[in-house]
Amino acid sequence: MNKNLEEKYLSVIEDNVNVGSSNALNEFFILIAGIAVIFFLLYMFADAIGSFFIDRMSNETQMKIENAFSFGIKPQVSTKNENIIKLENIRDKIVPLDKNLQGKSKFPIYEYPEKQINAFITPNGNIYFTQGLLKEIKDEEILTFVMAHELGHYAHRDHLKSMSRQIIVALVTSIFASGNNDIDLTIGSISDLNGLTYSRKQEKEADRYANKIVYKLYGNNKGAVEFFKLLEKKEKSPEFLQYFSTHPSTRQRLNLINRNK
Amino acid sequence: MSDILLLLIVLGITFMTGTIIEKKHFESIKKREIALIKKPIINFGAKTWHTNRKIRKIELVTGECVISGDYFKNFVAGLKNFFGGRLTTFESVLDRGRREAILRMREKARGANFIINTRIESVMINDTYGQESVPQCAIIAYGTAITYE
Repeated sequence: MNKNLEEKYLSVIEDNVNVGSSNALNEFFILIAGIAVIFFLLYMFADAIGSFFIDRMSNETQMKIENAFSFGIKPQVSTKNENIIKLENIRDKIVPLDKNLQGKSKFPIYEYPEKQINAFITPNGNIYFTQGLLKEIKDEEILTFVMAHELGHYAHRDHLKSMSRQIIVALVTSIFASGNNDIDLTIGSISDLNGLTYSRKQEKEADRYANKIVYKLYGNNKGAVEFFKLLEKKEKSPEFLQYFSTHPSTRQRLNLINRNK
Repeated sequence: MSDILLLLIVLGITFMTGTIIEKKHFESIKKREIALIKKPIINFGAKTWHTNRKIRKIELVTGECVISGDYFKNFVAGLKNFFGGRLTTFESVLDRGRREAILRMREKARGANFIINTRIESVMINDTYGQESVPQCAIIAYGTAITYE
């Protein structure tokens, strides 16, 4: 065989034109970054739209939506112990302070059997306090702060806003991913991180709201500061973990409260 | 959160193993191609072929290869679906498959002088649209090996 031809064949073997020269890892990061940017913008868009319409929503519409969501849930009978009665008194002090809370839910209060310190409000306005919280915290100012925080979520219509965001994002995700599990998982994780950012924003707003209420009732925010100091003592997770959590870190919340004196 | 961690771990591992396997495969392909560079010569697509020499043996030779991308490659290709464009991660897989199939065919035709009428085909073996489908490709190279007297 011709020597030249042999060299030509060898160079063809060495220099492969059929394989793309781009690095797969680079491509991977560019793709992930692209998706992250798109969904970041989508979340901003969804948040803007949701907030725009929900802030302008009438109270009747809100009640209609809440009733639709809680359809079929039987009203619980709360055991009237002294803790609940105390909390109800606090609630009756807070509700007249804000127009957004009046004429909607009656805000029944229940005990929730759990050891952790926690409280939450359901979309139809039921407030739950965990047994751990009721056992640990007896101070009225602290309980006022916790109650005002939960009522703040309701007054800001946070439940409806987060729901509207999720609906918009889920719709776009299902259109794009269309059954591809990999994309679904990637987008889901990115969406989760985005969603948590907005959740932390809402928590901060609720803290600010609760701070104002405590000031109006007592003239100082000793209760709020004490509450966060108590939480800080119990907390062991490092600061950076807040980016994966629904609430801002306790130190940040404490700073926020102190700044708004 | 555990979902994304698991995904990242699996992606990292499959990226490393996939890169190693691909590098080794390419090395072996190159070595074998250089060893086979003189014989037997393949002749693609000759419909009519004439020779005056006496022929001892005419034989069908085939080379098959089923090849699949690793998890990382499939994942990147899945994301690429979102934006469109060349699926560069699969290009190297297809190239490996094709060269492997041709090499196997040539190795099977040992002793022959020529392979004429060589064709390359690709087939999907499993159900492409099924839930449990593995992204893979079977490549078949076949031709007629001719041995002179």
